[in-house]
Amino acid sequence: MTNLLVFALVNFQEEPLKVTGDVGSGLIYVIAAYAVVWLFIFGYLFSLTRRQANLRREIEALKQAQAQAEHSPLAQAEENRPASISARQLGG
Amino acid sequence: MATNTKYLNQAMPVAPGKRLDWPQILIWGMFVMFPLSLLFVLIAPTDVNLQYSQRIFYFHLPANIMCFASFLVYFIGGIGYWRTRKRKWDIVMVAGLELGLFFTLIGILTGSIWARYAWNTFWTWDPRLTTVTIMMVVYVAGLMLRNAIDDPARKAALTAAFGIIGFVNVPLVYFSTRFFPRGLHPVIFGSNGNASNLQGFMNVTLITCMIAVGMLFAYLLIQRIRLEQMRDDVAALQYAYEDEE
Repeated sequence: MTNLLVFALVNFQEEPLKVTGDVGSGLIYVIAAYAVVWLFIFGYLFSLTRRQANLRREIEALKQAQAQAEHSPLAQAEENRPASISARQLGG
Repeated sequence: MATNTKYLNQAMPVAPGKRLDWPQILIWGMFVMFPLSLLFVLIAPTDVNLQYSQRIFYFHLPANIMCFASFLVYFIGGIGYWRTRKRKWDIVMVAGLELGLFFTLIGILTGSIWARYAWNTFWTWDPRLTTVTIMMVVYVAGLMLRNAIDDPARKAALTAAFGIIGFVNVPLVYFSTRFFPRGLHPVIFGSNGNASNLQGFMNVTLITCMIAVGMLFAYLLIQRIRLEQMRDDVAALQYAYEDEE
């Protein structure tokens, strides 16, 4: 990725630049640089938020599955069984 | 699996409500500082030699400083992990690594755009640019290797090794302009540095931008650490669920 970027930038440098008033003063470069900065900031923020949202959904799903498993008839029967006869002892 | 749970139990303790809500404070801080910094960038005096292009420097320099700060966080995490083997240091490492690469990319791209105006080329193998590229390649390799390993303890140990050894690059990048004075990249800090040539409101603008980008760094670091903590929560819940079944 980095090599590709470096390669692209090195090859791009040969292209002649059309000089206008904005280019002469560097304004166009300022706009380009700030656009890149904000694009990166929002891109990274979006990626972080999306990854966090996915994990939050996964946590909720696991908690629900856990709660359902705890309230299932099998789990309740296991809870009501005397402590001396656990499912493991019965081979369950 | 037992080792895995033991490893995950070492994660950072989260005690909501007992601490200040730093992300919220930082968000409000950024809402004030970023528009202010952009306004200052617009109204700051124009440099005689570099014209408008000098304004790129107001975000290029803070991005590079935060890149060094991120790799310092990564380095500290690496040392912490080697000493304690605790998951919390692994979280610090991965947050520092990812943020370091993020800020390095911003620094390189803004620098390249500025270079097109100032040096008439997007890229040249100047000592500063070369050392930055080497530093980035080393850290990218570390991240890729980390992602390729499944065992959490091995993954963390390898990340720590990259964090400690790779940090050698950081002072090398910083001092490259002094070690190789014939390079194109200007010296920024010190008595003969370009930063000392900034006058009046230019300094105010730079400091405002530094604070804004510093807040962004702190916010992203907290969020990245939270992301890893959530991953631990998922793993712990999955383990508990599988154990129950």
